[in-house]
Amino acid sequence: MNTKLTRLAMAAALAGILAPMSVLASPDEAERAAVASEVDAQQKEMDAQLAEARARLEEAAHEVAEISSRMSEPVMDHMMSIYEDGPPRAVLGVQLDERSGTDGARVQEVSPGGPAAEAGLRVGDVITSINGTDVKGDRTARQVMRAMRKVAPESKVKVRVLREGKSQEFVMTARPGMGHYDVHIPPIPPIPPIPPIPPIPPLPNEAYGPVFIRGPLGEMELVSLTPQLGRYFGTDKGVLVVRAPKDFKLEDGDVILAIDGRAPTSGSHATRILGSYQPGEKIAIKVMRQQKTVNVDTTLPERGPPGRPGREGSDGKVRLDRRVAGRESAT
Amino acid sequence: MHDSIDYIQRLRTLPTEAAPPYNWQEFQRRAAPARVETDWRPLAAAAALLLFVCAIAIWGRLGGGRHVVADSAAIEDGVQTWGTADRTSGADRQSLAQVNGAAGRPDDRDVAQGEVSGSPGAMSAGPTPGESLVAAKRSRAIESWLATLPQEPTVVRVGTRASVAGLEDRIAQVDDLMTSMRIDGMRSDRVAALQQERLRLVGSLAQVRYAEVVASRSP
Repeated sequence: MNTKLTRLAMAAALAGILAPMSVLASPDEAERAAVASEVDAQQKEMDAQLAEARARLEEAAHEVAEISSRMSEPVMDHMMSIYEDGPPRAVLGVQLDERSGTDGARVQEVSPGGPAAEAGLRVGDVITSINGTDVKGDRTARQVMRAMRKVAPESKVKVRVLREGKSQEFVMTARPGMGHYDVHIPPIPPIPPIPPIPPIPPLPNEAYGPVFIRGPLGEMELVSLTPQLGRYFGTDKGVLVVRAPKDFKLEDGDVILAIDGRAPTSGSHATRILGSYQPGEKIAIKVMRQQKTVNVDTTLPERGPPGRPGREGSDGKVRLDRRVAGRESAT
Repeated sequence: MHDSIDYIQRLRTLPTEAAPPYNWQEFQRRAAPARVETDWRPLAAAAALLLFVCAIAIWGRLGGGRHVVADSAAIEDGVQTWGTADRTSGADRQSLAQVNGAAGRPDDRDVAQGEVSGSPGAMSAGPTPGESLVAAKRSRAIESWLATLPQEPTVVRVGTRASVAGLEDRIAQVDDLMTSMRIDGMRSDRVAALQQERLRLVGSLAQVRYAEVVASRSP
């Protein structure tokens, strides 16, 4: 009995000690919770700031690309003016050595990201045939240029090269160039100065220059399909849409199988195909949606205006305004 | 209301013109000691500093390359941000340093030689073949860095990729044109001008691809 009473007394005493302590502890916990909440809010704010900074970095990259390309136009135009105009021809993305030997045309430079680079051509390779046509004898570099006249842009080209004494074949997809410039016009004698000509409005990029995509379509995100992803989505070909643009009738999770009959092999390829259309053009996209093939007829949205986002364009209108995470854009 | 009327009245009572504090002779007298007491020491220090800065600038132009070191550190920081072991290898670091050595200087040169790319009319006074060779070397250094990157990021953002594709296509066009010009025996200064343009485009491509990689690897 005494033992029981003693135990009860001890329990009561312990409760008496702990109760005020818990009362004392509660403000501390509340304070901790407040601090945690504040830290959480700060973290969120910094996350948003970081996302915004990254969006700015990406936007700056767009600007660098556009401005650089625009800056190169006068030089290219000037050089092109030496040659006669002609329809755009295909390019492989190589510089050839004009002093190449009779065995073939030596590759002097490979354009980064160009068809030859993608296929694996290297500096020092000697081109010995183009689409089965041998390149040998005199003026081999010129022979390659002539052979390329018969190649249509976007078509496959078989290029055989000699590398370290061994013959290898590469297949690449030619890209559109700037036009024929095989006909050399002799230099024109200097002419007297003429009165200034009023400025000519710039040609749209589509003339021969690169195409830049901004606006909703530029926000689209694509992933090249791997075999594992392909099994999941029920196809072994195509490009997965992980972020579909607004008003383009595509959905997140669609796998693009073909754009007007052209089957994209990668995200880059799909981008190039989409870039070949004019805004407002109608296109038919074949997609795999929820394991079923669906044909989507849609219209290419506006590419978005050039110029800095959120700033005035040449017409004085404020254009894109990207905000947190760079996900929303408004005109 | 009363206050404002009061102020107006007080203002009206003021004399029309205040007498000058002192005349011209007094002004000259006060100004004279100031000229005598001019302290030349700060001016001398400023001149010495200016000379020092000029000397540093000349040293830099003659190949001191101090800015290259600074820039390479910046790029290395960028590499560390990517956080992948393969990119922080010694070989990559070396190539990045080369890239930066190549990519850092052209901008300075572009500013100095703005007429080369900006005004076609001035192209006859453009870069020499020797400069063209240097540009080609720098371009190759950047290209070797570009070659270490995957052909495209895992997630391709169409807008950024279009910018990359645009630059790549333009470089391919420049290369094609350069081949044509060479085999037609065009003036070397024209080819050199195109080489400079190519270098600028390749530098821009590296910058855009860097931004693309950073964006694609962000959590």
